[in-house]
Amino acid sequence: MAKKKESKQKKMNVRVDFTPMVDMMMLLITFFMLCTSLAKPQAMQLTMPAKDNNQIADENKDKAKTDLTVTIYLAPDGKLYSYIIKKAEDFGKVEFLEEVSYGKGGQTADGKKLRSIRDVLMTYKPDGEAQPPVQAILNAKKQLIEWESKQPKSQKESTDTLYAKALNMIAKGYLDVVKNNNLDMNRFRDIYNKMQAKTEDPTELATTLAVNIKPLDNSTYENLVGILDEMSICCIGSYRISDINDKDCILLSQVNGKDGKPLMEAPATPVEQ
Amino acid sequence: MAKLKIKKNDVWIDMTPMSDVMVLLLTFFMLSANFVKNEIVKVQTPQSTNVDKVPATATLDIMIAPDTINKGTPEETVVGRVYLGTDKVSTMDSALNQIMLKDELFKDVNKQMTDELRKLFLAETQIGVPMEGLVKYLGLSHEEKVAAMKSYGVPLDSIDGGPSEFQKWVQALKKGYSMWYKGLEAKKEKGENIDVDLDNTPKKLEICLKADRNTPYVTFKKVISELQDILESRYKLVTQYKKED
Repeated sequence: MAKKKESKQKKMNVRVDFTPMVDMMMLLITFFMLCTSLAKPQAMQLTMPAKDNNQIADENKDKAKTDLTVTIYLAPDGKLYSYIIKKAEDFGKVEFLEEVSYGKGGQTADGKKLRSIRDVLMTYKPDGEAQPPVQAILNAKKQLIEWESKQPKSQKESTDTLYAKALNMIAKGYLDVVKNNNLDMNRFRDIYNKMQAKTEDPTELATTLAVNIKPLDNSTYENLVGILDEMSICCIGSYRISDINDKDCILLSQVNGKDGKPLMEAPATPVEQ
Repeated sequence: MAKLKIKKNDVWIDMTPMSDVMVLLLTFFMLSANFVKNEIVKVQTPQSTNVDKVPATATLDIMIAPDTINKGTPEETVVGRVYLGTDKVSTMDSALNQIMLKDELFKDVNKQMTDELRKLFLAETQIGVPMEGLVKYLGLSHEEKVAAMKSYGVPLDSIDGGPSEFQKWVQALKKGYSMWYKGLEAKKEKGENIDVDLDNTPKKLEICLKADRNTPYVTFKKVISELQDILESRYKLVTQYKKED
């Protein structure tokens, strides 16, 4: 009896029409898609010397050995020149000026192949060195990356801090902070304490390159960022952005830019070299 | 003739899976959203392989956008125009009202500033006109503002050998921010309720340089040297990510 009664109950239609909901969702999604940007921009840290310290920095610059200094000239129209001399008295000789390219190698207008600046930095070997200094640093960096990948994910934050500090040491020339794809913690602490106490011993350091970046006034900001990026890729610890001086002017006045005119006007009164 | 019998199809489409997908998408967009600031002047930043993110709050944005002057004449040159901004309205407010307008140099501007104009200023996202023209600028319509901004920018020239308007603004914004921070600190000490987590709030504004790819280096150099003059030597250069090639 009871069973029969139940079956008589009217079946309710439980189907809900979702179309208006979907409509609304579409609207909201469109709104969010148009009004937001997904990619967060990146930030590159740049520290310039404070003005009154410039004097000291200039003196320091001369301390870097001539054959360990690479000068990079940023010319307009995306042109780039590297200048490496082995002896100080060679300064001003235009044959050491080499046109290079950003990123991967490129070509000049007349089809000549260009080396990339990265290639120049990575393969430059000063006399008396067993291997190119940048190569040695990158090898150490590779080991550090290897070490980082082995760290547990749960300690990501402390790993990141250690990584940044160790990378800084490697860029400075403390290549022995990594050993056999591992971070040598004792050595790390030792160097850290020395750096804090400013009692560093220059003889412990491996040879590193110093890069002098000299942008011409009509080069663009993109060129500068491109070079700063190469500095971080090649792990160059000491680089500085400086202005073109009269000696550079003489050098660059011997090279023609894209429009066939010299890159720089030679200064009216020649300076003593 | 037999009548053609049209079979009635059920046209009801089940929207449930669709709405499921929609909700998912919506959630994704809502969570990953960071809203585009309505900046009047837009720049295209250069690319780098750097992976550090720009800080989310407490940034002092310095924008440099290129502008061609004397177009079509032999004197055609590209110059960079400088704009300032920050993400905090209260900082803009105190920078203008408590620092810039108190300056002896801008007392004429201060006289002309009405409460209505002050409100209009706070609705701005960027500072990009000389102080002298600020009152006139605030009265313009949106289209006129865009045109005015593009051809002005904050002046970088020093005023009678003293600091330039750009340097004054940078200092004012930084001071405005630390005033806000210190105010909150004082309140917290007194035991009052504040709705900001002070431990996770930066103490100082961080300078973010957002320059367009085509900015001539000479403008960039000028901005940096002005900043060095006021002892600001750490900056973040804003770039877009690209893969290492």
